[in-house]
Amino acid sequence: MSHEKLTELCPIYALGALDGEELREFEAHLKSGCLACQKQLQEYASLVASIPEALPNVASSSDLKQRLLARLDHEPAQSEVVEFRVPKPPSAAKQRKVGWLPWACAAAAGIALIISLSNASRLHRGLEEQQEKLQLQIEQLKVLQRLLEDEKEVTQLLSKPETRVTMLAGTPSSPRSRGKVIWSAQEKKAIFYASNLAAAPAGKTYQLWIIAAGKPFDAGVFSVDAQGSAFVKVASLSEADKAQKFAVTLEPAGGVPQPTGEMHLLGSL
Amino acid sequence: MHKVARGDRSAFSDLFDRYSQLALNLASRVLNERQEAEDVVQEVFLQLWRDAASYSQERGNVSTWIVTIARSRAIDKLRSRKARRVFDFAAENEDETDFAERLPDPSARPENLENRLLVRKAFGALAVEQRVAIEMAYYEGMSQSEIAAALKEPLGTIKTRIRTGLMRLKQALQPGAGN
Repeated sequence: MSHEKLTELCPIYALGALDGEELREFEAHLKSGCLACQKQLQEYASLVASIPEALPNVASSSDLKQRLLARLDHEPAQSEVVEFRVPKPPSAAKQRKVGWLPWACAAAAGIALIISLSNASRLHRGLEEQQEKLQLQIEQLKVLQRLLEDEKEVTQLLSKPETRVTMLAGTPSSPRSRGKVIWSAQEKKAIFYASNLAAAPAGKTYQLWIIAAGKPFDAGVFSVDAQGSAFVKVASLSEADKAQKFAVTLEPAGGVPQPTGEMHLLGSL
Repeated sequence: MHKVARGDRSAFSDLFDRYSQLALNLASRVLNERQEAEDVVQEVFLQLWRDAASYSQERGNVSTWIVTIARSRAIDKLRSRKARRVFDFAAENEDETDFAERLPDPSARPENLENRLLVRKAFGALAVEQRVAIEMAYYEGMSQSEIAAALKEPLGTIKTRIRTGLMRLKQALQPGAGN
C-alpha cells in the first residue's frame, strides 16, 4: 500500500475502527518508523480523546467517591522512592591491596552526587506541583468560561425577536414527558430541553427531529440524566425556515438518518 | 500526579473531582447503564492510583489518559455483555481498544479541545452520517467493517465518513478556528 493510502487510514486507526489486513499493514508501517504517520496519529489520538467532551453530564451516586476512597485502603500507591545503590565493597583479598584514599574519594563523590540529585529532585517536584496547581486553576477558569458561554448563547437566542418557542408533549409511549424547543429559523440554531423521559435502554438513544415540508431532518442525538432531563444545543438546524413540527424518537445508538423508532415527544408550531 | 504517586489522597481526590464526571459521561454513553458505568469510573481511578508512579507526561495529559482507559474498559464491558448475548464481534476483531495507550504523545493536545462547548458545536455540525459512523466506532467499539455491515453500506463509504468527519472535527477544533 502506498504511503498516501496508509496516511488516509490514520484517523480510522486512531478511532479504533481499522480492522483486517489494513490494520496489520498500518501497524507494520508505524513500526517501520514513519515519523509523519506517527505525528499524524498522535494528533488524531488526541482529537479522538476529546470526543466524549461533547457528552452531557450524567448524574452519579452520591457515594461514588466515598466507595472509591474506601477501596484505596486495600490499594497502596506505588512508592516513587528511587534507590541509590552503594556498590558492594570488594572482597577482603582485594581490599588489602588498595589504600583508604580511593575509597574516601569514592564515598565523598557518592555523597555529593546523592545530595545534588536529591536537591534537583526536590526542586523538580516543587516546580511540577506549582505547574499542577496552575493547571488546575486554568481548568477551573475554563469551566466557568464554558458555563458563561452556554448562558450567553441561551440569552442571545432568547433576545432575538424572531426566536420562537415550541412546546412538545409526551406521546402515549411517554405520557409524562415534556419538551421545549427554543429556536431561530434565521440563526438556524435551537436549544432543546426535555424532562421526565425514561433512560434509553441499552443500545438505544433519543434523537431529536425537525419536521419540515413534511420530511424529518436530524437535529441530534441525546441521552437523559438520572432525573430524565436533557439539554441539547443544536448548532445547525436543517430546514429551519420550513419547520412544521419537532419530535423525539428512540433510535439505535448513534442515531439514524431517518426515524425508525417509537416517538416519545411531539410538538407542532 | 506526582503527589498521587506518593500516596497523597487529597491530590487523588482533586483528580477525581476534576475528571470523574468526564469518565462517567463516557462510560454511561457506552454502557447505557449507571451501575456498570460507575464501576468503570472506580476501576479507572483505582488504576490511576496504582499506576500513578509510572505515569509519564509523554503518554499524553492526564485527561487523555483517563479518557482512553475509561473508553477501553467500558468497551471491554460492552463486548463481554455482547458476548454473553452471543453477538460476539470481538472474537474476530482483535482487541485494539488500547491503541492510544501505546502512543507516545498527545501532549500537543490544543487547549481549545478542553472546551466542551466547542467540541459539542463541532460535533453537532458534522453531517449526521459522519457522526453516526464515528459514534458507532467510538462508543460501540465497532470496527469499520462491522459498521458497514450494520448500516448496509459499502466499506469505502464508511471509511470516507469516518475520515471526513474526523478531519472536519480536527479543522473545527484547531486553535484559532472560528467559534
